[in-house]
Amino acid sequence: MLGAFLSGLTVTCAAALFTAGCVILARRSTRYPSTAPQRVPALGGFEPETHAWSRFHVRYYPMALLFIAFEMEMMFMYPWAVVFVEEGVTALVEMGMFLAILAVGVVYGWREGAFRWQ
Amino acid sequence: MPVFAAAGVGGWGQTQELRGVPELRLVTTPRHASVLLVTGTVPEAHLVAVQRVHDQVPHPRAVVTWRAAGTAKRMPGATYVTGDAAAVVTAVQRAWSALEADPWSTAVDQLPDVEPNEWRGIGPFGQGGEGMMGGTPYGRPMAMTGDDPDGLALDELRLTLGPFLDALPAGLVLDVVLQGEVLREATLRLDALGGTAADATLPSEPSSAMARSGLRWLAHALHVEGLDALAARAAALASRVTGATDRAALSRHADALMRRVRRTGVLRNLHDVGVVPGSGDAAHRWRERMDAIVCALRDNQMPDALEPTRLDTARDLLADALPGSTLTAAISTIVSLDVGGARFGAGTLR
Amino acid sequence: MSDVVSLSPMLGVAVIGGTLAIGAYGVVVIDRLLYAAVAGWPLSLAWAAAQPAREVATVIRRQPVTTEAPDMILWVLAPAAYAGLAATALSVVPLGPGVVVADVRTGIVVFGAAEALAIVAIFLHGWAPNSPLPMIAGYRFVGVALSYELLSMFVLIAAALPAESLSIGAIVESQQGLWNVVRQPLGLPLFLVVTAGVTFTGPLDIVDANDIAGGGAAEDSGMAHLAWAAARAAMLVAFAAAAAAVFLGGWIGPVLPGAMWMALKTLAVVVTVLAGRHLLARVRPERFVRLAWTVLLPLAFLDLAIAGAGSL
Repeated sequence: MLGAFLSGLTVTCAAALFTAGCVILARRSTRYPSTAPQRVPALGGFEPETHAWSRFHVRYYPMALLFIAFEMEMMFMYPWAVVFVEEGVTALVEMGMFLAILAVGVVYGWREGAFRWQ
Repeated sequence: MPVFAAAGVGGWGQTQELRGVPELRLVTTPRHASVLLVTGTVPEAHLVAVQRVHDQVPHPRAVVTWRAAGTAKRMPGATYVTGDAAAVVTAVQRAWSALEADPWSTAVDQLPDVEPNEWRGIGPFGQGGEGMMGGTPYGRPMAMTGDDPDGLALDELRLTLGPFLDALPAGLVLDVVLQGEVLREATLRLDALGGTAADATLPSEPSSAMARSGLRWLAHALHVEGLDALAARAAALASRVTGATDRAALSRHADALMRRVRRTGVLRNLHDVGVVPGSGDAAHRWRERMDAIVCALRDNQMPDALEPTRLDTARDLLADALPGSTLTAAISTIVSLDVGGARFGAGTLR
Repeated sequence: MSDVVSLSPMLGVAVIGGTLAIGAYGVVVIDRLLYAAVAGWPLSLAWAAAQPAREVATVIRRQPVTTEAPDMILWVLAPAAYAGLAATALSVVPLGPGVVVADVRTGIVVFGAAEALAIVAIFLHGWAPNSPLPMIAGYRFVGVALSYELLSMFVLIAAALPAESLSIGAIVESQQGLWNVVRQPLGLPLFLVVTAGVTFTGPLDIVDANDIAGGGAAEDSGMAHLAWAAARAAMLVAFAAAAAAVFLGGWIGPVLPGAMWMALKTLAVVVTVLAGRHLLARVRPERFVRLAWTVLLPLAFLDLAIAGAGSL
């Protein structure tokens, strides 16, 4: 089992290192340094007034919170999936109740406009 | 071959038709291109913009100008083409092969290598500013806050989009103030386009020219909505309209294309986007234009729906319609209005 | 899982690297062919296969442009992480009967983790150049990603129910009688939505979209752009392979060897996703978020219920 994880990790690192290596090599070995006009963000010809990085106001904060509620619940579903057939109907009913409670959250969020951006 | 097209006055429509040419691949940003294609006449006010776009094309690069008499002089080393689309393909192919053979044969930069602002050596780390506010860290100021309708003070990004932004109809320059991805202000710049007088003198076109400019609009609009392959089909159709002997076959092709477009869900996606007094939402405008194209091809009619939105009208409409919408919706709205299409798209270049 | 052939790490690197590289090139060729078919151009396999090779040859010599004050470390790391995660995702998928590079018992957990981390890589790729359009693309992508992410978890867990295991190998074994695509009919369509999302293809091309000049990749040039495009194609291969294993019975099939069936099924999924790219318009982000939470999520619940009732 540990060996399997080691294989997975090796493969991941190899792919990442290869990709990073190619990009770094290309950036290091280019014969053309970027000039100031080249470095201007591509917006179709004119320059932006400020840096792009700023306190960006995303419109989906409530949706993100709702997402966290579900994502936590996934942790419980993994072991539940393995023992599901053993436990039978009890497991189905239990998860049904759990999801129903979470679904109430979605319905509430929907009513409050959590999925609208403007 | 990856080509970035910068279209000046009169060049935009023919540029759209290049989407139907298998040999060329029109890319969305100069960074992805090998060849810069300048078409039409670039207004004096946009000259620095086209030079910046030129410099933003990574080395090794080549420049091809297509019937851009005024601009060609400003593009040293550019290949000047006057023929039809086939001549452009040949020129681009030749330029690309030359780059492959000799990567050093690149078009030299046009703008001086000067930082936008003095910043080196200023501040404790030489980063260009001191304290929390002020200065130009690394060459540019940071975003400042502005009020939003909910009473919050949010950072504002002030950008000028265009005139060579792939998604905007050619030559349009849009000044926007963004908070997050929502537009607070949007102003269409008309100065460089010769103001509103430009489209007051539009000649009335025969139905085939109307259909052609409609199909050019459709090619660009489909591209913006992510349907490049269908855009290629619309563009190829557009290039066959003028002088076509079998109009019935063309209108059948157009009909099939419109059916395919309707099945992509693009109209459902544009439902309730860009609602403008008098012309409904973007989906409505798409539907009208698509019907009108088929009509113009089949019955030789000249439907009003194919009239592009006049620039002065568009400026007022957009100033009302865009604030409060997302950037995504704003671009779709502008595209659906066919702003400036008349000035830039119609007819052929001389 | 007694008869599983676990590959040594070095062999694993060769297998995954080869599969991803060949697969990614195949993805580009198929995409060109489908493009030509929809555009009404003459179909030529030779043209579709040669064109990308020629472009690659020039793109690696092209200058990688930087922007003003970018976060260069993240700009390099984003495609690296994305490619690495594609390899992670593929490593837990069995490529033939019992042949899996990383035979972990918690395969779908690892797969889900790779999928979730890919969101981070995609966002950072938009954020790193310090340029407005890529940054906006990154932020609007995250909203969409948080919406499709749940679907994948639900459909993968639903597939794990009859297998009584989180291992993808076991999920394939559990489909000996009947494939999951029939047993849990909602699973595959929902997983294809997720695939389109993670690889930002077609209707879910929210991040590298045409309406904002290529979005997250708008500032990439040369090798940086190639690395990102290749990683994206590799991710599609990994997700298509997973879809083939989890919903289409993986290596199970008559006559042909198992690995061949796996390749054919993966190919079918790739063609489906890429056809969607050319035939479906990009959906507005806010519209997809609403759709995902109010329509697709209940469908995922239903999928879980069908799977649960079916495997009792």
